[in-house]
Amino acid sequence: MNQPVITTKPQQNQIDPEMLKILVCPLTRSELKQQGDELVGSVGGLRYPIREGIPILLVDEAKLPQGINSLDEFRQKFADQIPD
Amino acid sequence: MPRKHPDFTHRDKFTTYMREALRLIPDADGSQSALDVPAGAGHFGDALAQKGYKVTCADINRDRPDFVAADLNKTLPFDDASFDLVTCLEGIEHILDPFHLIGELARVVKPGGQIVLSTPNVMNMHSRVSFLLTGTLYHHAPKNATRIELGQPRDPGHISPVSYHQLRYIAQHHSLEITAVATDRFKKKMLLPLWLLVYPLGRLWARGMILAPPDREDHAALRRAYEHTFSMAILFGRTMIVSMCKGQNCKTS
Repeated sequence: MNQPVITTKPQQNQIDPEMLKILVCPLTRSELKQQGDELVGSVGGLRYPIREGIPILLVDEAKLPQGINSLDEFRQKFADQIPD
Repeated sequence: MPRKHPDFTHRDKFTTYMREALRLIPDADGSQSALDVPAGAGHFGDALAQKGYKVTCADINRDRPDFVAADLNKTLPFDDASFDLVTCLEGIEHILDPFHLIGELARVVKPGGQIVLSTPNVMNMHSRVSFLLTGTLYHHAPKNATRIELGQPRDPGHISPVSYHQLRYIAQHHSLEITAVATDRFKKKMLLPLWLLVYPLGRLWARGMILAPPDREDHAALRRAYEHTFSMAILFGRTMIVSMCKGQNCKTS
């Protein structure tokens, strides 16, 4: 019997590169790059935390990029890059 | 492991609907990928891994360190066409917009890939009698739902009943075809005598519905749909378990 395949590293906040290839920002659907304990969207730069190895890909918990004060403002600024 | 997020329900064991859903899924050779969402306690994801899939589990509950935290009411955080198999067991009835969720499942599965979805069967005989007597569908009475503040990440309970016909309608919009229907076990066997009334009369009635709209859809596809809806799984099954295929050349059973 095959062993369960765990695609993220549970003991640290390092996301498996294979997993990272398929993860996208849930708002802009742009690719994510890991920077420390965060995953950063390539469009707009929303920063998603990684906690106990779990990428928290919830828009409401993302940190906004500098100079943007709310998600509404983010949506307006990047409206042409946010899919329907 | 202690449960971290008390606001979301999940089954902390391998259930009968998981067992039957697993039967609809072919073995993998280690190269195929699967997404299980909502992953609950991770039991079904573990079973898929034992079946040979590279499994990604996603859920808003963050119960396990190998999960991805994702909200099924929003865009799923996965790229288009990322998975050979996507499973969504007992999740859609908790979602505000089933149309959106199925669109997302269809987006992240590969062309030719498989989606297996389960939900309480609101078309079973128990549900039909319940609707006649109380106006509520199986597992969708007021007691099954929780009042929430919109926007708050909390499980609202069973708020979105999805029938076979509704699921099929939504699936078609996303190039999905229902290829198989199954259930885990019968609900209210005491209602079995109703089959003698419902099956012949229902098929007769449905025959008119099949023949009525020749301009909308081919009759063969509608006949296949009615074979599913008059199956014992739909008429008496507790859980509706549906396998769907994305794209052309799907094999129907």
